[in-house]
Amino acid sequence: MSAEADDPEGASTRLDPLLHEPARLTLLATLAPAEYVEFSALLRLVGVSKSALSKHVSALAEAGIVVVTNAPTDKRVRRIALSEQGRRSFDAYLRRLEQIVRSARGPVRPAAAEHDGGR
Amino acid sequence: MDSDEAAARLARTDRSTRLSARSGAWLTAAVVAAAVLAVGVVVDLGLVWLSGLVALGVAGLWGARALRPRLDWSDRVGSALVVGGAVLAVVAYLGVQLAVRAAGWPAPHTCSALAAAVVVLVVCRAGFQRLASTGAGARGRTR
Repeated sequence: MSAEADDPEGASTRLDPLLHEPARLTLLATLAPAEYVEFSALLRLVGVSKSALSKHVSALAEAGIVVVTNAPTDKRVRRIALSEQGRRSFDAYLRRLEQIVRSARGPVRPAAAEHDGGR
Repeated sequence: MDSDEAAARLARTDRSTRLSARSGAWLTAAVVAAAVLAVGVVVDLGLVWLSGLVALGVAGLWGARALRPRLDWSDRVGSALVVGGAVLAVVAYLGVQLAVRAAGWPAPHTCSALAAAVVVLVVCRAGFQRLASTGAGARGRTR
C-alpha cells in the first residue's frame, strides 16, 4: 500500500504540480527567507536564464503564489515576494516531501512509542 | 516520487534557502557596517553637516537592498547574536578608540568604527542569517 493511502492527511497534502518543477522549487526556497528579492538578485541565486525565470515568475504570480511589485525608487526594478498563500503552499509541499522521506524509514515501533509516551 | 528523490529535493531546497538567507544577511550587515564606518569618518572630519548626507545615503542603501531578509525575532539565539553583536560593536568602538588615542594615532573614530563594523559583519551578520533561516520555516538551520 502507498504512503498516501496509509495517511489520511495525504489527500490534502499531495504534491502541488505547480511547485513540482525543480526551478520553481528553487525559486520559492530562495524567496522563503526574504521579504522580497529583486529580479536581478533572483536570477543570480536561482541560476536559470532570464526568460525562464520570467516565465516561472509569471506562472507563479498568476496562481497567486508570488507577488510582483516595482521598487519605489526605480520603477524598472521588479521585486518578487512570496504571498501568504504561496508560503502556505510551499510549507505544505515541504511537509509532504518530509512525509515521503519519513514513511520510507518505516513506522515508529509500538514499544518506542509507548516509551516516548510514558515520559 | 520515491524517498530518495524527495530527500534530494529537500536538500536542494535547504541549500537555496540557506544561500538566500546568507545573501540577505550579508547585504543587511554591510549596510549597517557602512553606516557605522561613515559615522566614524564624519566625526573625525568634524563635518556635522555631512551627517545629514550620510543619513540620507544610509537610508537610500537600506531601501535599495536587492534582497530584504525576513527576520523572525522569535529565535532566541539569532536575537541574542544581533543584540549581543550590537553591544559588542559599541564595546569595540570604545575599546579601540582608547587604544588608538593612547598610541597617538590619527583618526581614532575611524579606526574604532572600523573595528565596530567588523564586529557587525561577523556577529550581527550571523544573527541576521539565523533569523532569516527561522523566518523561512526553520528548515534552513536544522539540516
